[in-house]
Amino acid sequence: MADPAGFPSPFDVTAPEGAEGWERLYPYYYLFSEERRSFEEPKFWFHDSMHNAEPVYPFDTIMTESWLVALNQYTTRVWLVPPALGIDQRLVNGYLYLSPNVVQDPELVAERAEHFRERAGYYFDHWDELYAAWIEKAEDCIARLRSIEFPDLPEREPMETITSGRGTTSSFDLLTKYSRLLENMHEMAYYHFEMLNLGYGAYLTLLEFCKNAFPDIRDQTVARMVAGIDILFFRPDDELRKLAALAVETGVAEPLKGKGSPDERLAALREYENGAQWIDAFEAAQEPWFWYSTGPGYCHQHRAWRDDLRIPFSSIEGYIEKLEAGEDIARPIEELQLERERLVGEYRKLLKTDDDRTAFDELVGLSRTVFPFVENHNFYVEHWHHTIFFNKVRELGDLFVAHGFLKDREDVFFLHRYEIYSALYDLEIGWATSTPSRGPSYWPEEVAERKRILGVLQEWAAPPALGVAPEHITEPFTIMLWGITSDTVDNWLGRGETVGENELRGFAGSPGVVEGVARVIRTVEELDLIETDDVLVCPLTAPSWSPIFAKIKGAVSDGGGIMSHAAIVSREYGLPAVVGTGFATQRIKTGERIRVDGDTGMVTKL
Amino acid sequence: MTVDHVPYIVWFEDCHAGATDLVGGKCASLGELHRVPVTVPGGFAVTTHAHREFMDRHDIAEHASAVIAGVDMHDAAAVDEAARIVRQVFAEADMPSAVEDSVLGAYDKLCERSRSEGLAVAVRSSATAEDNVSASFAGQLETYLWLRNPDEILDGIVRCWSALFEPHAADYCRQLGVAFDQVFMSTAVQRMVDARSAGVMFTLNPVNGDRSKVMIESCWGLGEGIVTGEVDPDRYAVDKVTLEILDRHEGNKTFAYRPDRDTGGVSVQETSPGEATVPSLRDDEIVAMAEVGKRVEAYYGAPQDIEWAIGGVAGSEDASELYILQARPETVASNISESVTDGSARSALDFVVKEMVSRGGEDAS
Repeated sequence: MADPAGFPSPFDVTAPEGAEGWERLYPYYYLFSEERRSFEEPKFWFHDSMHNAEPVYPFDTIMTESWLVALNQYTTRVWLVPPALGIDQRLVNGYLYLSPNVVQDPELVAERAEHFRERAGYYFDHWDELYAAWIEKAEDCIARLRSIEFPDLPEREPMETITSGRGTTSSFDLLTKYSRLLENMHEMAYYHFEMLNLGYGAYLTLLEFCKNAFPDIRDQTVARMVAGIDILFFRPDDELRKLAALAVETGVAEPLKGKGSPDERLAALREYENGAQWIDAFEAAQEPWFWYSTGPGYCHQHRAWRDDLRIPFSSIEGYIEKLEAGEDIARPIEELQLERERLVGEYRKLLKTDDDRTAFDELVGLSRTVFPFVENHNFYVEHWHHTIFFNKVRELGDLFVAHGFLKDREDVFFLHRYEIYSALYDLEIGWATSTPSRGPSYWPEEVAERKRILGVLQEWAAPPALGVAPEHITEPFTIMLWGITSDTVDNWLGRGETVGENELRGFAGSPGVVEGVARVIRTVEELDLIETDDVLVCPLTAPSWSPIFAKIKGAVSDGGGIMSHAAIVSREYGLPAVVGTGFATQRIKTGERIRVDGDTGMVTKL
Repeated sequence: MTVDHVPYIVWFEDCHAGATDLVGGKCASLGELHRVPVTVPGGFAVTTHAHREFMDRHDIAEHASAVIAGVDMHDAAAVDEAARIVRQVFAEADMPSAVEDSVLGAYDKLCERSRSEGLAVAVRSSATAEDNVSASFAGQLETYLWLRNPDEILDGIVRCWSALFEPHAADYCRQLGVAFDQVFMSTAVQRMVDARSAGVMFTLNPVNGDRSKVMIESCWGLGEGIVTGEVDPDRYAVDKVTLEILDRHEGNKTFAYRPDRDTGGVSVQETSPGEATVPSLRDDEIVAMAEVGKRVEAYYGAPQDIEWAIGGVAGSEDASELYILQARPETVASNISESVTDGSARSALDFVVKEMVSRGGEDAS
């Protein structure tokens, strides 16, 4: 039954024509089901357009499931965040929908609060040392990930198997390495959320305090009071700025410009006297800074800069042009630092009582303690670890290709992780028994069919939410991580203020107003289509699309919240941005003229 | 200082907070504004000494007191009639020639300074009472706009004086326990700005006392329509620290107070349909104005209620200079001093726990 004034019931959503049977691409527990209908139907489900704008590939469910377990158990079982339980997930036509669970009973909230105080208090008190240890754990996890390899099974076991008396074989190694790979992913997921919930909780408290003390203060202003200046978030981009400066200084800027592919440009560069010097610097910068995802880092399609040099090259070219036009491209670290202190100092003076100033000092202090982790974890987790992880899966794909299970290494992402276990076992049976595996006659056809189904699903316009709309959104992580607030829901439902037919209401992500021609970009592969002075319209503005930020005039996204990479980078580039519009990529077409008002959060078709 | 040396006029730039008894609060404030510094339209105070001299020459006080003595304040017609007679009594009294010479000499100099003959000026009361009284007294004070010749100006000054003896003001003084015939009024004679836009600015949110905002109201032409509340103005909220425009409301400004070229003075004129809903301020002007508001507030060390105008003056090419016409301390919302904290939390952890607990809710369904 659909909510008369709400969103479609998830049970009323049907598969688009030609995508029937999409359910088999995913684990059974990921689907809405009649058995759980009485629990599932009255809930509010919102589309995770922020991390998974497109239908989730079967293998990529490992990412969403990692946080389904890791984030949620930290909330529910480890920190005992007083009012929050986990955030549930379901797949509908391949799209990921989320639903927060909250504690309704005030007595239970109070009981959880006591545990939360003790547990969170410990981490807050020991934050710096725990964060130092965290970096070691994260780097070690990445090092172990890199050491995992999937060599082909030998025709015969090597002599060493016999002489070492190890008792197990290459086939056993293959299965255990695959297990290590999955475990490694899950391990990083735990680290991801070990400190994140607490960090966001601290920041959310400061944000709410500031909103009470200074009604209508911009979220981004509060973020600027505690944001780090010299953080890993900006480091990859800083490397590109340095490379651009080096190219100009050493006279090798010319071959880096133009239409050529990265390889062609590098080849042209080698002809220059100082070309080798630049290439050395370029290669040095790549480790680890080019393990930087071209997207939010949750989907295998989001390759690292290392694997797709078009983006860093385009960015370098942009910086070279600015340098040649006499602009200073270095980030004004000192100025930003002073500005941060000015903000805190001035707002502090505007508070009315000593109690308020004490609270403000405490909360700014705690937020600044936790922020280095909050801001830097993305590089370790989503960028460095995840891009390498997906490459390891591709290496496994090569093995399947070698044995005829798959036509292309990328096809491996059309199998979910349990199916890969089966396929590996199938492969090993064939190797062990010397009989044909079933895989080569089963998977290529099935993968082709799955490609077709996902292609159909990609064209489906996922509603921003399903189920019953709540009156209020209070769950802290829904607000902090996804930017879903009561206003968002009202906006999707057209409740509250009336918005004109040619208008889209979102959130002011980055100030300023701009008019221009819309360019709708749904996937990272389409980024090449962006032309200078376009207004980007996308499911999510990912920061690592940085070169296009140098080209575009403004940005509009379907998803995104106050802590989204999108908002931060748009502000960094001084571009007007409206985030969290819900429907921009559906309602706006490439070529239409639109106005982006980053002050009010309104997008208008002109 | 003997009485002979007390001046009848004092230029604004020489007025200061210590001279309120002589030049009144408004002129003292205009003098202080020069020191902020902000741009203030030029002019001078006609001092309380000039007022006293005028009153001493005649038995006006006695005469006027007799007129209003028996008036029933609930009888509107009687009140109006008494006011009319009081004004007539004042109008018929001669201006002491030394005062007249000083005022007209200063006006000539003002015209000279502005390189403009028949310069339009405003004449306004500048009361000497304390801040809180004068703030509340505002409604009793007089303003005459766009006066362009000596007779109008002198007449305006006398009317400011006479206003004190009109029944409403006198009654108000009685309520405050002030002897109205012992109140001496200074008068500001100030160059008019041919305002493209004008309005008011508060250096706090007057609704909730939030000091991190600058609130601006703006309309086309002179600001009178906002002061009286007749015009639906444009409204802007600016963050005092970041100077971002946080909120904007474009009013439907169907009319404007503008100088009347035919009859002289100021009249209410219809705006063109295009003008009515077009913002009367550009974003850069809003931000620049908020910055000026911040400076004035910092100078006085307290939130301010500021009247401003943007426009040209005679002899100037720039038709969009920002003038501050008046600044006075905001006395109501600036006294709101509620904590946003209730004292139950002290440490950051206390606050975090409290915030999390407060977020129990109904998201799930």
